[in-house]
Formats: sequence, structure tokens, C-alpha cells
Amino acid sequence: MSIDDTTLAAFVDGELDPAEAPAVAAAVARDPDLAERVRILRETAWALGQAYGPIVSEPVPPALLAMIPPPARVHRPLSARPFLRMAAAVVLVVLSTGAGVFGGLRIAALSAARQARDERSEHAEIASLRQRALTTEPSGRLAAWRDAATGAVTTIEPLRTFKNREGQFCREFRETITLSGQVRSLRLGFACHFPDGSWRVRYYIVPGSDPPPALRQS
Amino acid sequence: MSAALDAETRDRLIAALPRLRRFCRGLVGRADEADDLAQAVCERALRHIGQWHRDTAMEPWLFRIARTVWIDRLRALRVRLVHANETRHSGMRAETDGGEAHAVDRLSLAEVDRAMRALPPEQREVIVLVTIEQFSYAEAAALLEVPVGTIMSRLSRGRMALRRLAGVAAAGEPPAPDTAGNAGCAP
Repeated sequence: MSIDDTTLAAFVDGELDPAEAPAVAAAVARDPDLAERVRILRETAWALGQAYGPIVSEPVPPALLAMIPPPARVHRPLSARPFLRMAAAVVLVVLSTGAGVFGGLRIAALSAARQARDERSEHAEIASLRQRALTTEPSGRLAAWRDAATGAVTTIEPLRTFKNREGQFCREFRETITLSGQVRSLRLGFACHFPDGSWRVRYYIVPGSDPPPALRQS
Repeated sequence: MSAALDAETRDRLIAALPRLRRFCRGLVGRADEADDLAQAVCERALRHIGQWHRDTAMEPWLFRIARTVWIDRLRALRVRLVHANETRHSGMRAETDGGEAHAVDRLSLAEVDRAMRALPPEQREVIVLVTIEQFSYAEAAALLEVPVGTIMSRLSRGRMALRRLAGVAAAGEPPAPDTAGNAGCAP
């Protein structure tokens, strides 16, 4: 049975017609020459993935991020009430799954105005750091970025990953900004992963001004 | 300076940058040139951000721009090469790794880059889309505006040409050093 490389590549990539695949698989099992070509197609794909895969985990070069302008001033039609409901829902999730680590958090929902202000002033580096941390860091490991201009260090630490009701992967994370060893801002975020590969922050929860001991130690 | 972006567009653009960088890297096969290309793409994308529809993924749109810019640059380069008449490339093995090796037991990125650069551009872009960026054949065909059959043949020819990466160089028949080396890129 003569099978060309085009069909073999489609076979390896899982793009072959399901009706056709079993016959190709059987032929490959019989014929050492076909098996060798399948090996080449498979291993070249593997080698390319190994070589280029890690590039997406590299920090985006500052020169590239510097091109992204600040976000526009937007007026969000976000009323406080549904927001508080969401925040309460998250606390429930946290309490039921997190052995009470965040118990005692004072929840202060961000007002729409405050959130808009935060987004406006946010550095593209921080947005990029957040994407990278949520994409590549396991829970409990943090990624950091230091703003050379101000010395402020932003850290983002994914805390927990789960699937929401729509089947999306979502992560809780802790985001801190530290200046001269002092925590200037600490908030817990909740972001979900979209099919286009981006993580979008659904909301933040700002703990009370003095973080509980459980938060401080970890 | 480009106009300000709304927060979601900005976040999605920032989220797409790592893959844009990888896509560019696969196309040009060099770290510095890839980031240079990514910047050119970003600049153009910001200028035409209104053409992107927010209910579609950002990456294919950026990749399409990247490909256009890259092809323009290849053409310009080809013109220069004709004048310079200088296209010597040494074989993969003669060169040492440029400090980019990730691990000893793995092909170095520099080595894979070199192998990719030796492919004709039209095979390279299909390999980057399908094998590295995990586009389906149909998605790659839509992005490149060619039939799926063309995707399939370029992909399989390209990958067979990269067989050296599968560790068969010693046993099999390696592509002839110079003819295969610059097929699509040099005059």
C-alpha cells in the first residue's frame, strides 16, 4: 500500500478523516518504511515544540510593551450590587475549598471609579506579568516585575485553579506592589482563561488594610 | 502615537504578545530579528486596531499582519541579496551553538532556528502555524488563504526536510547541503 507523506503528516497530526485513519494505522504497523516516515514527522513536530514552546513563557521585552498605549478612560456601567454578589460568591468558594486561609478577610469591593482608575494607570508590564504568571506559574509560585523608574516591585502569585460552571479554567491570584520593602497594595484577583489564550480579570477583592496573619506569612 | 485602547483590547493585545513573539521567531529564525518584526507588527496593529473584531481571537489577526510585514521584508532582502551576491551558509554541524542551548540532551533552539531558516518561506509559515502554534489545517488555510491541500503538502514537505531534527541525519539521506539550504529565500 503506497501512502504519501501528506497523508502520513495528516495522520500524525490527527487531521485525517476518521474513516481513513485505521487503514493508515494498520499500514504503518506493517511497513517499516512507513513507520520510519511517521517517526520523522512525529519527531520533527516534537523537536519544534521543544525548541519554540518555551518562548511564550519568556517575559515580553520592555521595548515591545512600551509600544502599548495606556487604556482609554472608560466609564464602566458596573453597579456595586452584582459586584458584591460575585465577591461574596468567591469568598464562599475560598472558604469551602481553602481551609479558611482567607477567613476573616474584610472585603472591600472596588468601586467602578476606582477600578477604572487602576486600569488607566496600570503599566503594560504589569498586565503582561499577570498574563505570564497565570499562564505559566503553578499555584504558589510567584512572578515578579520591578519598575526601574520607581523601584516598585509587583508580584503575582496564582493561588488556586479550578473550572467554573461554563467549563472555563479560572485562577485566583494574589497581586502585591511593594515599595522599599513595604506592601503598598495587596489585592486578590480572579481571572478566567478564554479560548483565545488570554486571561481576563473578572474582579479584584481588596483585603482590609492589615492583611491577616495567614496571608502575611505565605 | 496611537490612540488609547479600551481596557479589554489592551489586555488582549498584551496577552497575545508572547505568541506573536513566538510566531515571528518561527518565521525569521533569529531572536533579535523576531523581536524587531514583532515590534513592527505591533505598531501596525495599533494603527489599524479598529479593523480587529473583538469577538474574534487576536492572534490570527496579528499573525496575518506579521506575515505581511515579513514577506515585505523578505522581498526587500532578496533584492539586496542579488546585489550583494553573497549567500554563504555553513552547514548546521560546522557551527557551534550560539549560547541558546536549553539542555544538553535536547536540540538547541539555535539549531532548530538554523534548520527552519533553511526552509522555503511558504513551508516555514505553515509549519509555524500548524506545528508550533497548533492551528488546525483548516484554520491555517483560512489565514494563509490557500486550499487545505496546499497546507498539507507544504507541511509534509517541510517536515520531511527537517528530518535532521529527528536525528536521522547520520543514517538517512540528509538534504544536499546547498541547494536545499536556501531554496526559497535566496536568489
